[in-house]
Amino acid sequence: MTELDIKSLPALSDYGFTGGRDNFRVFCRKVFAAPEPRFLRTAENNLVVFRNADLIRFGTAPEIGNQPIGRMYPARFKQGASPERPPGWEIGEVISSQIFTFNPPLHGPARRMILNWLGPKQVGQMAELARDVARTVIGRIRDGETVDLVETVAEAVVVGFWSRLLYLTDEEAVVIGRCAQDMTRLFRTNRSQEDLQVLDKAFAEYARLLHLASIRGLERSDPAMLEIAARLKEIDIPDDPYEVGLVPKSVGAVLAGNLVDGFHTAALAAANTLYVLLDTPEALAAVRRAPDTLPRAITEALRLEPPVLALNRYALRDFHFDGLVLPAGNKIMMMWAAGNHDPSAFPEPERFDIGRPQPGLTTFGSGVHICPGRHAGVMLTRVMLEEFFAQEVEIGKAGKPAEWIPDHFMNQLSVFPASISRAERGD
Amino acid sequence: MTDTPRLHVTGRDGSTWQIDAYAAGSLLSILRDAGVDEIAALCGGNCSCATCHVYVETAARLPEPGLEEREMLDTLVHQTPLSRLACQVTVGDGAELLRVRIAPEE
Repeated sequence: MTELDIKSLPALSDYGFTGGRDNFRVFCRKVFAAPEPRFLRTAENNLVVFRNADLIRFGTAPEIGNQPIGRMYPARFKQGASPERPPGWEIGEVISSQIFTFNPPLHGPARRMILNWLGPKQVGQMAELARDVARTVIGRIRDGETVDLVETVAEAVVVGFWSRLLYLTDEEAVVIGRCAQDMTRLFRTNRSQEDLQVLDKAFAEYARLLHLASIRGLERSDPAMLEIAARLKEIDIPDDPYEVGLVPKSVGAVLAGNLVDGFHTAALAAANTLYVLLDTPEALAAVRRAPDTLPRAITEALRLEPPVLALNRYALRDFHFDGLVLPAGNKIMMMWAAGNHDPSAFPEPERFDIGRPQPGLTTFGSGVHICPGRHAGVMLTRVMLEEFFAQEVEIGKAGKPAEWIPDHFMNQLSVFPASISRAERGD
Repeated sequence: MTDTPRLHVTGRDGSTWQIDAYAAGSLLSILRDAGVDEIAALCGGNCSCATCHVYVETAARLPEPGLEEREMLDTLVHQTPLSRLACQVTVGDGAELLRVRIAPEE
């Protein structure tokens, strides 16, 4: 076995990637033009996995786990650390209850706790609430208006849905929506001190509101929250910040930790799907004619424009593969979005093809750590589109182009102007 | 070996596969080895995603699903009494007659 020599690998920047969607497309065309290199490295000499087969192989390997909270924020858990809270503290406070910082044996019961709330069947039962929110949001848009589909539609539907589900008032929904917008800074490739200050404030307020939501839910005997509380009580696993993770201390902590993606990233899924369908008018027209094809259309749209470009994983144990070994303790950047653009898995990867075989998608990750909230994100996107169709609202590109956030690990639109026209109703 | 196919698989679009010899192992790996490629199994066969949902009919008795598998099945819209996760079903060395139908996507 030969140790994988990460430092000698080509850098991401050699292939033009510094973060952000436009960069990413150019990167994919360049890096997939040849079968080598197999791996890349970050500027900090962390391994970058980007080919579809490797993403699935690494993603499903038990040796490759989530990055534990104690490895993300080492100063936080040092004995004798200063009681002063350094910048970024509030982010860690929330993220430490997120399933993406858990590894076995905590990961399994925590994952089942989330799926018991947000599994396909459970999310299906939430669709009417989402439809009600989407109906109101889309119903507000006037004929002939130009709107930003990111803020006016995608974020409004997503934040409105979670806020209603979690007993937040209209005023609180506005506040938590602003927090979710501020969370965008979390994914900047180079976070500044100012970013950390804004993030700390946003995360603290967001966590406060979700703690409040959990109290209201438990007081009203919300079955989902009672179930989360019961399951939390059953988890008897000692805290281990450096590998296993920290058991969430309350239902509010579970909600806050695990709905960052709900409030923030689910809106990206909705906006990015709209972007792809507007960019492929024949696909949008076909889906309008045959709404039963919508789930496949959303899957294909999110293959093309997945919300997440890259996330980090961590080698919990030495990982042996193909005569090589990646030693334990290495951080690994998993370029999930690149897996969807690997032509060996998806021929002509930039072409929208609703009929293409879909196994091998890496939109929501791969392996035991695949996003457990993905059903909610897809449901919200589907309901939003169905409501556009039901209200006979036509969406067209506006004069100004959509803008993607640069230097970012998310595939995120900052603004997406669109013109709206409504069919004349005979009533 | 008999003339009877030991494993009969029906895909989502009605296409069928007859498998009359396979090595003992998980039903998921048997299906994949036989070229049944419409099962996503996004978690890699670790009982974490339920994207290997199948309906299993068998003349022989299969071990009952464990707690983790039951909990995963309970999250599915298309769950029926025949529901199993292919990654959690261990099949013996060709002795069983199984009929497997791939469940709809969630």
